[in-house]
Order: sequence, then structure tokens, then C-alpha cells
Amino acid sequence: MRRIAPLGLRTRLIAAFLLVAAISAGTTAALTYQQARNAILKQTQDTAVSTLRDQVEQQEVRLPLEQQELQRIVIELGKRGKPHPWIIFGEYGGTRVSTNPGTPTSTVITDSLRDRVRNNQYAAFQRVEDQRGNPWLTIGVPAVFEHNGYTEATGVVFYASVPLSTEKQTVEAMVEAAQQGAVPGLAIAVVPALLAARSVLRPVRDMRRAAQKLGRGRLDTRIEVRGADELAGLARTFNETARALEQSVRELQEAETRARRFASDVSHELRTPLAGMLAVTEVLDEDAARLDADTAKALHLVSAETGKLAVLVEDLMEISRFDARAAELNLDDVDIAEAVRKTLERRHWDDDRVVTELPDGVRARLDPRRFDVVLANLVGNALRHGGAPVHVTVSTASGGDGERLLIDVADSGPGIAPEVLPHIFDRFFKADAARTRSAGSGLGLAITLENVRLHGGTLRAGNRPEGGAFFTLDMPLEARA
Amino acid sequence: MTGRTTRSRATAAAAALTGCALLLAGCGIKRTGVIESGHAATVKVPGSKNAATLYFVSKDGDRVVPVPFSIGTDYMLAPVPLLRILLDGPTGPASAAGLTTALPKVSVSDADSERVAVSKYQPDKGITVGVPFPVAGLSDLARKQLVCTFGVSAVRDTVTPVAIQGTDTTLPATDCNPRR
Repeated sequence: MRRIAPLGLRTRLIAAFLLVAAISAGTTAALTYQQARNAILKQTQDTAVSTLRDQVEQQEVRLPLEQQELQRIVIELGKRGKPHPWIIFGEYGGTRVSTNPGTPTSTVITDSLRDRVRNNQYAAFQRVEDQRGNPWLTIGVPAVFEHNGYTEATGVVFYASVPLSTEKQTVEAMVEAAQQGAVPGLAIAVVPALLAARSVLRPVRDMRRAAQKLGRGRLDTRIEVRGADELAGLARTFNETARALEQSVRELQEAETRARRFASDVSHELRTPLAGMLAVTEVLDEDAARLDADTAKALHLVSAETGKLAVLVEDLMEISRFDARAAELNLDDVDIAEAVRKTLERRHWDDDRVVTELPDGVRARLDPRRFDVVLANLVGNALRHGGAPVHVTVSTASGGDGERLLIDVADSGPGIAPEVLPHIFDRFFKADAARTRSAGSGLGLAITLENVRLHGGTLRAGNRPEGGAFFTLDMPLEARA
Repeated sequence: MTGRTTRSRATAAAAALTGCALLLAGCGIKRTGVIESGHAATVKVPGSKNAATLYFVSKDGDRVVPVPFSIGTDYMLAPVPLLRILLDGPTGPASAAGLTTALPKVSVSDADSERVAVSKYQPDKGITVGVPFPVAGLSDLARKQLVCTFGVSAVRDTVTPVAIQGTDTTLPATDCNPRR
């Protein structure tokens, strides 16, 4: 029983759960992250732009602007960076100065930003990256003045470059937090996934076990119905089916039992009058010599048929006992060669019609009476339907569960027709359809098979390649009651 | 059945990949284009209130820049002195800041000053300024210096288009736009 198949229901349920959890966690994290990052950057940008504008507006620009004056203003502005310290660049015509006297022009301020703020009276910013990939915020604010009621460009533009390393760290920390939060989140999602899989799989598992039990013949198996979902409905249907099946089987069994009891009762009731009839016919048989020929012939016929009827009744009672499971083994230690020889002698088959091959010193534990019946039936059957000589071979073999006794009975007749072979052990089955009456009761092989089964063995019938039928008896050397 | 399963798996995989791609694409601080953000900074320029504003060529020679010229509060400079000062070119701090002029070095004699006249301001046409030298050969910057200086300073509280009437021809009226 595989509990977790490679792509079983449990695996698929857990995978689906994890996928849903991953998608929702990922989407939430991504959206939250984007919003937070944009908010952080927006705040930084807005603060920096408005701070630079405010600072510039507090300056007094004496036109025309000399380089020293521009330098003074730039240094003044450079002290007031917000939210981070910044680097200020001032441009007036061709004059370019910065807070850092070594580099009057910035490497991160792009020409597009410069063009935009020089040609428009608007402040502008741009996010750029330097050669090392660090993000910078560059801002350009042109200075204008009011003249004659109109704003007039002074020609002075101030630039600020603000490193965004703090924002970068914050953003990276958010990504890291999202990544570190996702793994435990997925791990936690496994728990409800397992619970959900369990709630689905437990009824399924119960149902499979119940179906297996039902298949093994435990028809009283029922499933506990939990809840009111589809699986509960399935369980209810299963229970109803099992109940109906149990009912049908019980009815069939009862009918069979009645039929068997009837056969048993009939044979039992026939036994007593038959015993009387047998006694009477025996007496009459003795006196037959004194009667005329026709009457004597009729009397012999009645006597013979009565004998056959008695055998039939005995066989019927025997098979009824098997059906009622009332047959018991009376085990005894016997020498097999001795037992076979005795059986053949008793039936007067110890002439050359039966050829035996008996190993000496093989002892078996079996029911001697039933063994006698089995062997007599097989040999008698072979003599009656097959032909002499009949070969009886006894051997032993070691099987999976101990030593086994093998007895082979082969005749030299025409063999068994293939269409008959499957039914050879059926009750009242006549191998020769034309012959409606036979010497046997028609129960001989059925009784033989039941006796062999009682010993825990098997009986097989077949045809030998060289002609003639064979029966192979295979049973444990040590039968158990 | 198999086809449907394969397709649904493919869809799921595509969705997962898209999610990952979105997640990765959103990371870090991305560079942007130039984004305009609010107005320019209005600075205080000493002496600019009601003063004449002269326009000279900036140090790198691509535009004209304003230089306020004031001799006292609330005093409008007459056209002749205004033109004279402009034609003299940058002096003192203006010269020190690297400003130049594109106008010819012409001294306006008293005889010529009759030609120097500013017509009456008409809101739709602006003003016409007469100058005592030929104007057809003037460079763009030189014309801008004249247009801006007179357009901003000749009429109080307004900026006007200026047409320039030289000794040879009259240039059509244009607005002051210090940038090229």
C-alpha cells in the first residue's frame, strides 16, 4: 500500500496549496514593495527639490554674477542639504562651480536635465546611476527674478546631486524581508495543506480499506459517515451498496443451505427403509434359485438396483456432511505403501490390472478411511472409464510449506475429452452423455476432491501426451486437522 | 485528459514565471528620464526693481543674459542713454563675469540721437525702435540684445514686441526670448 504516490492526491493538494500561497504572498509582497519603494523615493525627491528651491529663493543674486559670488552661493547652498547631504553645482553662462572645488562639473548630471532646466522655467529632477551602479538623484533649479512685473531668467541654474544610498539600503532591506518572510510563510502554508489533504484523504483511505474488506468477504463492513459533503455521500452510497450486497448474499446462502439440508434430510430418511429393503433383497437373493428364471432375473435386478441406491444414498450423505462442514479428519500415522496395497487388496485389484510404484518407508499423517476412499475412487474410476493397466505412482516432494505427498493415477484408456475436463469434478456429471446410467453414483470424484481438500491438498486431472487420463493428488505429508 | 492536464500545467507554470518576473523586475531603484517638478526659484536681484535691464551675450556665447542697470529708484532711463549704455558693451562686473556684446561699436552722437526714438506703445503691435546704424547685417544675438533690452525696459510694467528701424531697413517685430 503506497501511502504517498509520486503524484498522489496528497502531493497534488499540497502542491496546489503551496502554489496558491506562493502566488498570493508573492503578489502581495511585490505590490506592497512597489508602493513602499515609490513612496520612499517620492518623499526623498519632493523634499530635495523643494528644499533646493527654497534655499535658492533665499539667496540674493547680484547680476551679472561673478565666479566668486556664484561660488559663495553654491557653498552656502551646499551646507543645507535635505534629506541627505548633497553636492551643489552652479552654472552661469560658461562659469561652472561646485561645492567641491576639484570637480566644477558633475559626472551624474545628464545633458538632457541640463537642457531641460536651462530652456524652461521649471525645476526638474532625474534619477541616474553612476559608473559603479549607485543611484543618484539629480535636481536642476533655474533661478529667475521678477522684473517689471514679469519673471525673467537670470541665466543661473543650480544643480544638486543627492546620493540615494540610504534609500537603496531601505529598498534592499524590504526585498530581503520579503524573501525571508516568504519561506516561513510557505512552511506555515504546509500545515493547512496537510490538514486539508488529511480531511480529504481520510475518508478516501477509509473507503479503500472498507472496499478491500468487502472484497475479502467481510460483507458487514460499513464506513463511518462524517459530515454532509460529497465524500460523506459517497460513504453513504457505499454503505447502502454493502448492505444490499450482504442481504443478497445472505438470501443466496440461506437458499443453498435449505437445498443442502433438504438433500441431507432426504438421504437420511431414505436410509432406514433402504436398509430394510437391502435385508429383504438379500434374503430373496438366497432363495432365487428356487424360483423360475424370469422371476429370479427380476429379483436380481431389484437387488442390484437397491444396492446401487444404497451406495447413492451413502454418497449423498457423505457430500452433505462436506457441505455442512461436518466432515472431520481422524488423523493417524500410516505407511503409504502399506495403505495403498491394502486398498487395492480389499477391492481385489491386486492382480496385473494395477501396476504400482511404491517407495518404502514413507509415512504420512492422514485419515486412513478417507485416503482409502480417495484412492479407491481414483483407481476404480480409471479401471471403469479408462482401461487397464492402471499405473499408481507414489512419491514425495518438498514444497513451500513442508514435505508433500504426490500420488499419480494414470490409465491406458482413450483419455478425457477436452470439453469434459473442466467439469470432471462436478456432481452428477456424466462423462459419456449417451450413457445415462453408470456403475457409479456420479458423486465419486466430487467426494474424492472434497476428501483431498479436507487434507489440504489438490487434485488435478489431465491427459498424458502418450494417451490415457491421469489424476495427480498433491497433499501435505503431515495433514492438519 | 492528458492534453488538458498538460495545458493546465503549462498555464500554471506561465503564471508562476510571470509572478517571478514581476517580482524581479520591480526590484531596486530604477533610473528615470527628466521629470519636471514645480516652478523655478525666484531669487532677489538687487536693483532690478524698475531698473533698466541690459542684455549682453553670455560667456559661452549661446544666449543673452540680463544685467540690471539702475541709477536710482523709480527712474526710467530714456531711449538714447539706454542705447548708449547698451552699445558701450559690458563694463565693470559684467565684463568681469565674461559677458560680451554682439552689437557693433557705434557711438551715438547727438546728431544721430534724433534717429533714436521709441514709438508709442500699442498693445497689439508693440513698439518700434529707431537706431542710427544699419541693422540688416546684425547677428541673431545682436538683434536679441536690442529686442530684449528695449522690450523689457522701454515701457513700464510690460514686456513688448520690438521692431527695429535701422538706417537701411526695418526688422519685423519680435518678442524677447533670451535663449536661442
